[in-house]
Amino acid sequence: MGINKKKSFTLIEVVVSVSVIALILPSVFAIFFSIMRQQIILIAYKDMLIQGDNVQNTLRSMIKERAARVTDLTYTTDVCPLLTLPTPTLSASLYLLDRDGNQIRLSQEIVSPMRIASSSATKTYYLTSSSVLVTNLGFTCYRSNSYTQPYVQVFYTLQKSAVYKDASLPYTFSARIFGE
Amino acid sequence: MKKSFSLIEVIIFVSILSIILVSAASIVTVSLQQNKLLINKLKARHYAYQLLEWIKNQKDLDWNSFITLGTNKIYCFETEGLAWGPSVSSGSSCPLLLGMYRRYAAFKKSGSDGSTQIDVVINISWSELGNTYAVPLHVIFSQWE
Repeated sequence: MGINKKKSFTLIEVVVSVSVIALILPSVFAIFFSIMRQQIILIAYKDMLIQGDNVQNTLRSMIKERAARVTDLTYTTDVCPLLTLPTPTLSASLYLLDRDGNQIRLSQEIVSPMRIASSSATKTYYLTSSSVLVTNLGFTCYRSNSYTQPYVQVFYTLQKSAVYKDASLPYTFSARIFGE
Repeated sequence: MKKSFSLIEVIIFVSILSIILVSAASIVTVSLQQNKLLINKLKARHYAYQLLEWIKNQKDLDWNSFITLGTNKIYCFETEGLAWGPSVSSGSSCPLLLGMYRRYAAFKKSGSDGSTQIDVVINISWSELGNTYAVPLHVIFSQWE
């Protein structure tokens, strides 16, 4: 019963096995994290696409089916000029009056993260969730004839507010005001 | 006599292990590639629809200049902010959007009298891992819609 007869790993065996594990583990983690990273990017793009498309549909139907006039911020004067090239200057907010005379303001709310908001005289609704960041929201409007309803053109860019900041998607669309 | 593994045992073990490792590695590689492709497809689809919206707007703005610009011509749209550039002879010579997508729109007059309808083919193509992928959109614009 001597200590020498007990079965055990030799130093060499332990050193070899530990170094093999040390070689394998980092690559396993690298693969794991690159898959994770890609999933995050994919989810980020899906989120931005869903929200961006949704904003586009909501704003379009609001402009096409509800709005009667585009006005200045006092809701009294019509603002859309006859078409002049280059395109009219971009404004950060759009003031609409619907057919019943209700006021609607579409704007970029300075909250964190910045979101697109639709505000009536009393209430504000956000059209994007806090998972995306809205930048460069802008509106132009113009008419091709003095007797036609104006076109509103909307621009915005969606970015991911947290987790993955490099992804961004620009949106542009236009719709014609329904009219009174 | 000291007990130990025979050569056959070691060879079988190592070959099984290597088969498992190689297949695991190839699964990981394929899934990474597919994910990347999916992301690029989502982006391509978005940029195709962005151009479609813009062209729709150009049509709504002024049909006469739209039909003049859009008579059997191909235009490149290589910037995120959209604008008419000079027409080109083929979409394959377009500069790259975001360093990877080739985005162009081919306009063709059609319709019974040849001036009331324009066929537009929007195409976004990109190369990835030796393959070429494309998101084509075919739209018909007419004057009275």
